[in-house]
Amino acid sequence: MPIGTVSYSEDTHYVNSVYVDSNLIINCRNRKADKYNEAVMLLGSLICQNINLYISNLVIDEVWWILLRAWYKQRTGRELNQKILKQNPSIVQYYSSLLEVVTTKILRLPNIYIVENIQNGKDFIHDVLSIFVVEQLGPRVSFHLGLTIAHNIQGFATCDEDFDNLNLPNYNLTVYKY
Amino acid sequence: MDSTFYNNNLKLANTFIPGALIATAVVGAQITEIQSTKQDSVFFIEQSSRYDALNLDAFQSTMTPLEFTVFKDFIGEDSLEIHIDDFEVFYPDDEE
Repeated sequence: MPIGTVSYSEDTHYVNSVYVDSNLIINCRNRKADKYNEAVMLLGSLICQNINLYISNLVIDEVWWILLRAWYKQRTGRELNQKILKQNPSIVQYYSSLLEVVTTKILRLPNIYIVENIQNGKDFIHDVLSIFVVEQLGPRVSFHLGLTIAHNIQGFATCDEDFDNLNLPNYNLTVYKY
Repeated sequence: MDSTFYNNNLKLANTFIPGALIATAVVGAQITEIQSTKQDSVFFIEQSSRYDALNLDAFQSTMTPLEFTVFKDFIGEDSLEIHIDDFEVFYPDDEE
């Protein structure tokens, strides 16, 4: 079976390259999250085993949005959405320092890398489309998975249930669930 | 040739490498502790119980001191409160 799902255990031995989903980053930064302890233990284990951790601009995009929404709600009591931000883009200025702090902390995690540009972008898009259609994932999740495969990353760390029923007949991937 | 932009007001200047919108970057070479400013603290929740309850001994004994400092800095001390409904990611065409 090409897809292996491994629930967090302190005895887990990880493959040497793992794509880090945005939920792992956010849950490690959120002590009120139900998954806080598990996320911290998983990230700590990955670092201890010197695993190469990969993120993409998609991950950063998601982290920024989640943080902006949380901070905006905390400051104003209101929900932030794309329309509000488009109408008043200066909102970001309130949070630029915070974004810088958190982003820098992410980028300074040990052994963390940003995935490279895809050499053949057209083939990559077709591959992601196949994942989107065959695996019946959302487009954004399909791109996360497509980047993982395109860069031959062997593991995927997430708490997202979207990855529970993957098939990927031609690729060996271990999904580390927490 | 590398070039930077937006480095007057943002300390995190972006690096643009022609031909590669997403550049490979090794960013773990120099890891240092980063502290949030007092101005930021209003957004960070002082709630140490769950952080204090973590058993990080095994991590401390395995990681280098600097790695452990960076790890602790990331997972606690100044973490912020995010509600579960904030986790939904917006797509560009999301309108409410």
